[in-house]
Amino acid sequence: MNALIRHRGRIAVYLVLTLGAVVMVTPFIFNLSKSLQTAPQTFAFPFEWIPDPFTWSNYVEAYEKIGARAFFNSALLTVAVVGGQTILGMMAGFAFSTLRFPLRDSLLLLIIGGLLVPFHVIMIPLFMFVFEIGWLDTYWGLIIPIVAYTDVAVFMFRQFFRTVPREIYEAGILDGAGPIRVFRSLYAPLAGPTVAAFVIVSFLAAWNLYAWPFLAVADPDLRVVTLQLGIAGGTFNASSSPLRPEILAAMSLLSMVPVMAVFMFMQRRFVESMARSGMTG
Amino acid sequence: MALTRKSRAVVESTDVDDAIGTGRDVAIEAATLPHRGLSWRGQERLAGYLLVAPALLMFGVFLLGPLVYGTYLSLTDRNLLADTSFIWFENYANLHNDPLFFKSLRFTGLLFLEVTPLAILISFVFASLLNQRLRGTSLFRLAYFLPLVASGVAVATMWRFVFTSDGLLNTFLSFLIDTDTPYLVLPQWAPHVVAVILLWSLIPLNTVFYMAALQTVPREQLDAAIVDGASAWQKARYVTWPLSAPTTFLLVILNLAITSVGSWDILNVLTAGGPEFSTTTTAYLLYLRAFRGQFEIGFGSAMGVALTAILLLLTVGVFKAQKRWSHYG
Repeated sequence: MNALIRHRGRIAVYLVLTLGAVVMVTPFIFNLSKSLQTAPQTFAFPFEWIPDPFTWSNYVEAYEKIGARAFFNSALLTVAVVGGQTILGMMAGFAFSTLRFPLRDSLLLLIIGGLLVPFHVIMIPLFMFVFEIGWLDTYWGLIIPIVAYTDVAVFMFRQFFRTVPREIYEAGILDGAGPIRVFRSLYAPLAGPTVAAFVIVSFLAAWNLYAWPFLAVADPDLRVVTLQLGIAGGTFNASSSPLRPEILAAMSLLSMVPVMAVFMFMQRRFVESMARSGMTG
Repeated sequence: MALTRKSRAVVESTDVDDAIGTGRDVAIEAATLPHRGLSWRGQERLAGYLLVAPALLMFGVFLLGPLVYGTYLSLTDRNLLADTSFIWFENYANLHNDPLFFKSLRFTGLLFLEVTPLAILISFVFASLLNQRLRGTSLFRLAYFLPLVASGVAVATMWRFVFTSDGLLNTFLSFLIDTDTPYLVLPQWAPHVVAVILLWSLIPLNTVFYMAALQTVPREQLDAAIVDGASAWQKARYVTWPLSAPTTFLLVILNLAITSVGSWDILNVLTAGGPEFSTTTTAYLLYLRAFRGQFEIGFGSAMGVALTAILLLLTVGVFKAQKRWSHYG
């Protein structure tokens, strides 16, 4: 009897989980299918799930539409943001956790307070500022302001370095090293797992960045991948040429390839990192 | 750098001396004094400022600076066309003359209310089920977390053709009724389409948080509940759900931020705030005011300051509620 109830319970659990999984995955399958169809088939109603014939050339066209340059720009932006924030965050996180200096906690609060300011709200003054220093439509203007949002990085690294006993620091000092040397030789090497967690989260955020590139960049040579996709299919863009659903579908899937790869290979770590970074909020 | 015997002795000595302080400080001072001009305390202070400076400087220039500058702009009639003059609070007084301001606030609020409770409940259920560690869980996890990798632009692009008149939704519905409603073009439907898409993209995020929270539920508490003969429902309702309360409060704030402001990317691509401004959040409206039409930078900034204030108040409110709840709950 008990076993029967447990059995039934298990089936119910699987049913709910399957239903949820189908809903979550449907948009991806839908677009995958569309991205392999010929133009006429995409307009078939009701929708046909199996492409006939399989039209792989859509992906060639989608790649050309995004352009190698945009992939390069996205990679550059991502590397700069991830690298910059990691270094800035480690340095400040170490100082905020281990070193003692006047105003330390107020300064930390100032940076953590940044989490409360929604980016899209300070976009206007940031745009005006970047415009006035002549950085609009440059790599500097595209990249540097984003690197500056180190609140999550600082907090994550501070939380980690707090778990390292200060005695390690004092031991290093006794050995005759300066504080910065102690940071480089003793503390930084310990932070590997935290670096990995932060890199995953900020990689995702940087690659998917859209609103700031949308405002800061007009030159087609400076566009990132998300921007190319938005411009090709965005409703804001009333002048865009008639939409070709199969190309847009291929473009959106292509734009996700790098993050998808990280996700597939490091799923467990990926999920843990997301949860950890969010604990800052 | 290897630790010498001297420093290892210090590390080992620490469990004893939690009265630490001056004694050891003096010892360290004595050991390191001849090193440089500065005392080791002075060196530490200097290093502290040096290490914090780059992050702080960047933060000041690109976040605090714009914040102050935006507040200043909100007190001017700055636009791209005419000269700027200082007009004190006129922009704020004019907010209520903007017919779209309250409409956008209303849509923002409705979006939050329509999405958040569902996003939180469904995510909690999914996280609880995924936490059972049944066979095949890793496959389910893969499916649930896949949407995390999609940018707002990709989400909007992927969902767009679900809601066209010959789209996927109508394909499903066509087995039941005859319909060719173009949902994104109709003001009575478009807001709900946005809500559905936001719900879909928030569930994985919330599920991640709940899964992390559920891992920290003490095993003994669950065992105690099982001994008391609690059903799965009772365990969730009386053990794991209350214990996840801090996560729930955090998620309310996070979901507020995402529905009100973070939805910008999706809106820009999916609807551009239309049709008839039915999907214009306040965060989107301030962009429209500042960068479209008349380029009213000052007015848009005022709207931004007002929105930030409202969101801050709500966030503080949620924190207060959490305090109360954890005192009396």
